[in-house]
Amino acid sequence: MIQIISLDQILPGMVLGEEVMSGSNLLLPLGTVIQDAHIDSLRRCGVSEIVVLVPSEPSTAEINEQREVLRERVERLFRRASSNVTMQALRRAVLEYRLEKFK
Amino acid sequence: MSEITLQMVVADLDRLPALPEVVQDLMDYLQRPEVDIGQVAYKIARDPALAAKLLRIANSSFYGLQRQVATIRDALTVLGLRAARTLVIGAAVVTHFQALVAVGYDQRAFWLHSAGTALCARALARELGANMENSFTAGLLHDIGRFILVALFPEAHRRVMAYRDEHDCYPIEAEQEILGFNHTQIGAALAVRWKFPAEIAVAIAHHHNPMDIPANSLVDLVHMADVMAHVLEFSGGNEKLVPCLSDAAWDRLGIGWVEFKRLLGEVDAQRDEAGWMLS
Repeated sequence: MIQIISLDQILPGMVLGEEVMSGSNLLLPLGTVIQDAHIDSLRRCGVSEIVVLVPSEPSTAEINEQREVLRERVERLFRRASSNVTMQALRRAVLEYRLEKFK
Repeated sequence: MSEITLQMVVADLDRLPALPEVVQDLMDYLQRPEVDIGQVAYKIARDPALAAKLLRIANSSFYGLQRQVATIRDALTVLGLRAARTLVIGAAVVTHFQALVAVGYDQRAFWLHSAGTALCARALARELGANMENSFTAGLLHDIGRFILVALFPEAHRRVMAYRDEHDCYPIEAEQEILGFNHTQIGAALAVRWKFPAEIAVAIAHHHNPMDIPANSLVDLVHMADVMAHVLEFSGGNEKLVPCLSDAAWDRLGIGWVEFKRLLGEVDAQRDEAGWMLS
């Protein structure tokens, strides 16, 4: 995913999602990892906005799918567990632990 | 297909290579009411594999040392002699058994679960104010009977595993069904034969049935640690089952579910230690 941000918002470590041109001159190519020196030179060249890559968040569907995998794994470990209260509480605690860790 | 009995297995314990003289000597010496730290360090240094394991344990993040200890003497000072005694036994037995080769058996998975149970037992002991090193060693050795069965009677063990796979039951149920006895009895017999501290022998003997004996904190603790190590899947494997957690043991330990989850996290963070304890 890409996002347009103003030069004020740029931070070292961000990755360019589009090349930066000044007229017909290429200032920085696509994929450049921004460093402090770049920010200074962009400012000197009067660039006001740049396009950066935004790491894509996993979709809700993907998250749900991964949670389902965790749930199935816990069910598998407990497939022979009796229905007694302690064992069922253990199963719940283990599932909670894994889901919290996954977050 | 020949039948084997518990008596046969126990009689055959002598077929196992004896504990090295160094270790036997050390265990005897550490039983004395007064021991000299220099003497202990000297005895340990005679067995390089054992010395290396003890140093690795002393340097584990669990003890939170500011700097690494480089000598056995420093390690003993850090751990304390009492602690060192049980750790020496555990490290010696693992080093000893790792040298045995059991064809067609996933030994690494076995030892990873054992080491994982040791880490869980130690974390539980710290939480409960129990003896951490006894707990650690009891956790490390709790399933040793299974390894002895594999080493001495591989054919019988294969039949046990075939039954387990066919019925998808707990391994101890398969042992009971095929052999008429189980790994806890073999392990306890070894613990007596090799003069482990009595407490550890009892924990090995009853880690699957803590409810059948009067309250015993180390038995309850190792039972719980075994459950935790399975929950954390130290050995992996799609066939694994979390053992049945005893109501009696859970109530007697008096841990809450929130603390339980925190302890899982603590041991999870030490996970790598299980691997290098075995290296």
